[in-house]
Amino acid sequence: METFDMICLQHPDSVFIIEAYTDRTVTYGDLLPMVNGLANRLHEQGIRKGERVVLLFDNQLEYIVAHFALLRLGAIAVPLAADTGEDMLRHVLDQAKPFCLLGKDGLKLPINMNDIHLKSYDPLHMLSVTEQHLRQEMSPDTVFAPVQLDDEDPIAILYTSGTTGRSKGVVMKYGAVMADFDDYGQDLGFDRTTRIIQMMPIHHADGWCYSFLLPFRFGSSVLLTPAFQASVGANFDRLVGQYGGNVMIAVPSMLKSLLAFKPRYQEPVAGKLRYVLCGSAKLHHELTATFEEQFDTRILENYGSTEALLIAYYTPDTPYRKGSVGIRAPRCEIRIAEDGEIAVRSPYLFGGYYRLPEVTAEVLKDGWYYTGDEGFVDEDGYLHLVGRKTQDVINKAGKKIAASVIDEVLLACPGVADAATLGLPDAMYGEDVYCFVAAAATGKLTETELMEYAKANLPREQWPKRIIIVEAIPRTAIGKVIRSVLTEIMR
Amino acid sequence: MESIDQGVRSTLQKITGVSPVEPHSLLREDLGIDSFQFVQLVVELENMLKVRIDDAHLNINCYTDVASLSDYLTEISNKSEGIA
Repeated sequence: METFDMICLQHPDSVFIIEAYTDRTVTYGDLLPMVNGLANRLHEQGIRKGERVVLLFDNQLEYIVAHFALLRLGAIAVPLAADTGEDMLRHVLDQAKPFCLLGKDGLKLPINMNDIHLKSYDPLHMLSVTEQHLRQEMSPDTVFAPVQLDDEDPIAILYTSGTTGRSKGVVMKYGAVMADFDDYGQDLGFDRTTRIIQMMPIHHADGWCYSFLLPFRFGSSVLLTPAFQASVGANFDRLVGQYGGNVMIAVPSMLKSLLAFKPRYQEPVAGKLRYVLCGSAKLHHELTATFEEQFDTRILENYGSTEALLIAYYTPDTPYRKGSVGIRAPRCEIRIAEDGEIAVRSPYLFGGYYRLPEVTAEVLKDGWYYTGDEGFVDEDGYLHLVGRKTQDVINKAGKKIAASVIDEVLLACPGVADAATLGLPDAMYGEDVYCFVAAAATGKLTETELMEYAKANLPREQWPKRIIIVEAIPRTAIGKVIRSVLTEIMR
Repeated sequence: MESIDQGVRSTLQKITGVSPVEPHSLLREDLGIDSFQFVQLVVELENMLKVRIDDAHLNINCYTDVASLSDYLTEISNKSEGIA
């Protein structure tokens, strides 16, 4: 981590973090003593290498500083949304068994900390991190001797979106993350003039990458906004004008929202973005063409996952090819299995699902990670996605939802005999949740009642767009749902 | 001509697929409106009512239910008519 000091000291007056709208900033020169000051405080609290620490912040500078402090200590960050619900928080605490929680000022937890008794520490405690604290703790001579990190050392556990019981902690290894960021940042031409507009939630894999080590490695700056919402989209002209953002990371739904808001903008937005990095969900050619034309920029699609990081992507020099998610990442091998599934082997791969060796073994075999996606590589090396091996995962605006878990919830509803949940094309999200339900006694259930039941028992992002009552769920002789019949009903 | 309240409810019904939308329906809890749907709602209501929602009100948390959104839109609609 001597590199950390070196990067901070190379251009100490350069801005590393700007919070749009609050105008709070941290320069590279401030980052070093700020991180060291917090690292000292956390060390005094007893945090050591390998300990897990849950981070509960919004998109704010304290999160980034806290994450770097944990990196100095060799501790493992477990970022969660500040408004994480009780079930999810309990699940993570139970599985990750953190040393403590670091959170934003005034954070109200959905659980009573005195009720949490993990094996080693009693009770679990929470520390708040504020800019005021950080500045009080720092001085030009604030030092901290960082621990040595090896490539295999985990630096974060990112919990996948999805259901409480099945949410898995993806172990991010130091060497893998740095290799991926080095390659991608170089290919994109990141440098000190790059200012990334970061509107993704910071606990999400994309938000995590683009607000932390990736821009830092290249001396770039992060323009941090609240996680995307209407007020952010409506003021996008300020982000590229007043705040100088010139690169953006987005999911397709955000691009649609920005197009919708464009007539509101008072400042010019065309030609301000060097490019837009877009992934996580299906990006349609028409949306790409419209956005590129309206904003006079280039959309560089990418394909990857939290487990594999980047598998394929476009760079500013890659000619666009319709239907492709880009060219294979430089140190990534791609193998198409006999059934069409994309498998990858690269230095970027994750270190398994935390404390779930059996689940890890299902996707990580002989050094190859099996993505669950199906595709092919064309004669020029472009990767094309054609479908998913399992239909269980619904990709709603980049959030992965397990269809089988929604089925389980619906099957627990009195009067439901059978259920099948599908992800069907949706103009806003790429895919949305559609549930088909067969009632045990026809006529005793209504779609409205079922929807109320689903809403009461599922997290909001998993709420079905529609629930359709059918006489029976069409299944093959071995019980597999015949999707084509259900899809036909929707037509 | 549709009243503002009717316009808000029919727009919400179109965006969320929930029917009926009641004045006391909660935007997030009952209708499941997320950040992307809220953007769509804002743009459609602004175009329909020929109003501009100010930045301070571009937050879904400003509105407890459908009625409170309708009330705000009525207020700014009256103001813009007054100016005109």
